[in-house]
Amino acid sequence: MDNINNAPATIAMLRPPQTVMRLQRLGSFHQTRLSFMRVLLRRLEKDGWRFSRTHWDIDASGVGVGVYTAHGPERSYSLIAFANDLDPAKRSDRVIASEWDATFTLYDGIPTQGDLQRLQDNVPVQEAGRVSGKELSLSRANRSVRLFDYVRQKLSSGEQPAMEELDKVGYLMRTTAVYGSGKFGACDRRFIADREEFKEPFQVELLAVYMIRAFSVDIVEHLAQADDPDNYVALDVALKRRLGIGNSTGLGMAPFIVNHPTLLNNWILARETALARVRAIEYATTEKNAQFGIYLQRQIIGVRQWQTDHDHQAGKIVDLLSDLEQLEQYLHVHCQVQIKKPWDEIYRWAEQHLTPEGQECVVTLLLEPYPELVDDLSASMSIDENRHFAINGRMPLSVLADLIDCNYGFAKEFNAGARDQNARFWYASEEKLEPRLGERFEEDGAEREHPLATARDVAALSAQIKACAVQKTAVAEFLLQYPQHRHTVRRVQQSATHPYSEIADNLIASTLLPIDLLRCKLSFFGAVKFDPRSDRWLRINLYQHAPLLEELNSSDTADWTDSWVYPPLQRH
Amino acid sequence: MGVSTIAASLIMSIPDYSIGEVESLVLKAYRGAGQSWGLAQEAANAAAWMAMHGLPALDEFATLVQQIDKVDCAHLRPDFAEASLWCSSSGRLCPVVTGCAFAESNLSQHNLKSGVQIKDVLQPLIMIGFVSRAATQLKRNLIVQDAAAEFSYELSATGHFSNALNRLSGGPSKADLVIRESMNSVTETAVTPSVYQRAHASGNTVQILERFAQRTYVPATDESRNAGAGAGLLDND
Repeated sequence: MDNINNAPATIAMLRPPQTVMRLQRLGSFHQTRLSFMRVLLRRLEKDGWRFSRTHWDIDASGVGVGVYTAHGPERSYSLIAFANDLDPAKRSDRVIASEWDATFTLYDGIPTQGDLQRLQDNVPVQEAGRVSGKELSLSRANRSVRLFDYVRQKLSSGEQPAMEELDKVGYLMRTTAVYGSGKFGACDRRFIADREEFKEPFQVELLAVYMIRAFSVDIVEHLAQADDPDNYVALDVALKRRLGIGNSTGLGMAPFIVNHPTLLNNWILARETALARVRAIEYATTEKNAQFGIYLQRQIIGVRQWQTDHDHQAGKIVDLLSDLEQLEQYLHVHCQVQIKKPWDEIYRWAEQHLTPEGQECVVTLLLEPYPELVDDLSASMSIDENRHFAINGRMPLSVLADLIDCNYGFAKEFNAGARDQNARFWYASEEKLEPRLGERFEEDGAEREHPLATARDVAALSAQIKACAVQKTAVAEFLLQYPQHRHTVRRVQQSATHPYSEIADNLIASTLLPIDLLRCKLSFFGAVKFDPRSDRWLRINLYQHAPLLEELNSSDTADWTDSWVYPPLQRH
Repeated sequence: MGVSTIAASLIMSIPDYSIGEVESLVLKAYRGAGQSWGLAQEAANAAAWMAMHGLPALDEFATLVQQIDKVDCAHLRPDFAEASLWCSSSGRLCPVVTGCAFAESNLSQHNLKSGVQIKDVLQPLIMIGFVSRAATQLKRNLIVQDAAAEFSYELSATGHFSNALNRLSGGPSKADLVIRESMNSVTETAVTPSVYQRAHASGNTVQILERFAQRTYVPATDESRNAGAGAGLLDND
């Protein structure tokens, strides 16, 4: 907590890790003011970034190259889009896909013709190609079968698509992978992390996705115009804003927050600190009360638009709507201005009366009226993980045992003999080199398990320490004897200074819902409309309702505020 | 084709790797050699350090994993006959295991001044990152040399690095090392840390590492292909 200054009243309000870090709660997180997409757009606005489409060489069948450049105060970045005329049969197979409707890379600067040629040979084949240190990301997207052709056809016949149809899907294209730091030869984050625009996590990837959203609209307009140049109309600007960019995310992302404990700590700590600061406010002004009420209304509209076929999530949405309606009634009854610590009062009421999904939505709403207390915390959400990597070999085993005792209560519940607690194993598939989840007692490969079973591994470490006669033994000596515990010792030592670094649940239990891990991470990205397709992959929407590229920093969007993520109160 | 174009195409044809790729490959390859995940993390971290300091990380680790393949860690670790002399009864020390032990041990000032001797270290260049870690933690300048005086590196308390003999490519496959406190002011001549952003590999180095990394993957079956990823084959929307 060395990077955040807080008053004692705030520190006292922090929710304890054993409350926050349960999977059920992490899997109920919603976007907040601190989500990385919102951080990015605030910076683009504040620092006067401008966007231009600098190159568009795409034919009537939709094949070619487009380049968009973002011009910042010190540097420019270019999204290079390779558009493809994909055989619809190839779009339907996700697992072995090797071709996409469009592929992208974010280039560090403005590309030359030579760069475009080099990237043309590599980007469209994605994992089978190589990019260089001049490229910052690599990604691809497919058209939405439900929406893309419908919009294309409407525009080519001179009509606007129906808003209801747009809202049902929410995007024209859906990315299926956005690779960043160092992947397939791309530039490592560590070499650009000191650039002002990339200080917060995942700004590269989210800048690329923001520009991909613009491409998805441009390409549907381009094709509609090619279909019928005489009757074609451009998509209405208000409708464009209703379109985000889709993303489907599978297990590949799940281990990330387990493999980066100190980074996870900084994300959660920032969010919890923001909540504690708001809860510590003595009195709320009428203006802040009114703002909270409006955000609640807009959130309710957003939740009503949230659709999923997934039973578990569908149930949670029903509960959430009921929770938010209860909150409305609660606000009617209680006049907040007179109450001391009104936001703390609301939070405590929510904790008692609402589901975790509702409680975490209240957390999001409570932060919303207070940019002055919340937004500076985004600067604390990155970390130089290397600073916390080295093991303190001089620590006595007794101190390590105390850390386990204090920070790993959830590991005490682990029972190595119970099959249901040991049911799964995380591994990397040979075929896709991607993380997967296997059934330990039914599938081969458990001997190649990845070290993600924190509860089990901490329980084993704890037992080994207890078996050592001399508790004064130093960790270095212990690890020479028992190298199999080294990865766990590192985590335990990191937990001493990173209270929110560990997910306080068993990640190999038969009851594990991997989508909870995905949702936690994606909420920090700023995703909405979580739509699980199974217990281990889901679809989301990014940048829905966000200002368009050309609207950032333009004078006619003076009413644009950072609250774009909530649907407008009046439909227009 | 002009000379400069040929040179450019030659440069383009030599693959280079991001530091993240070096870390990821070494993590899996070291684990694939039968060693623990925690040590594999150390190996990956050391490989990144080497690559960012212009040392041949991929080549060194490709040789190392072949030497320690399936060897019990108990036969690769120092036995600590005495504080100033580290050796292994097996006659070979893994630089990752030994490097961790060195950076994590409670070295006395006396030991450092007179020098710690470490016998039979495999791929000793790999030790340098660990010695640098120790120098930073102890806030002392350290020098690491081999007994044959083939290489000599100085690591400063501020994380700087200098290669006294200016040999950046390739180290011995095994050496006896001496590590002691340096009386020189390393920072005056030292290389700025992390000036190298790309790593290179020679010969079939990457293939060797990939072969070891392969052992950490689980082959797909039809069942796991569908269930393990959780996605059905159809993903149209």
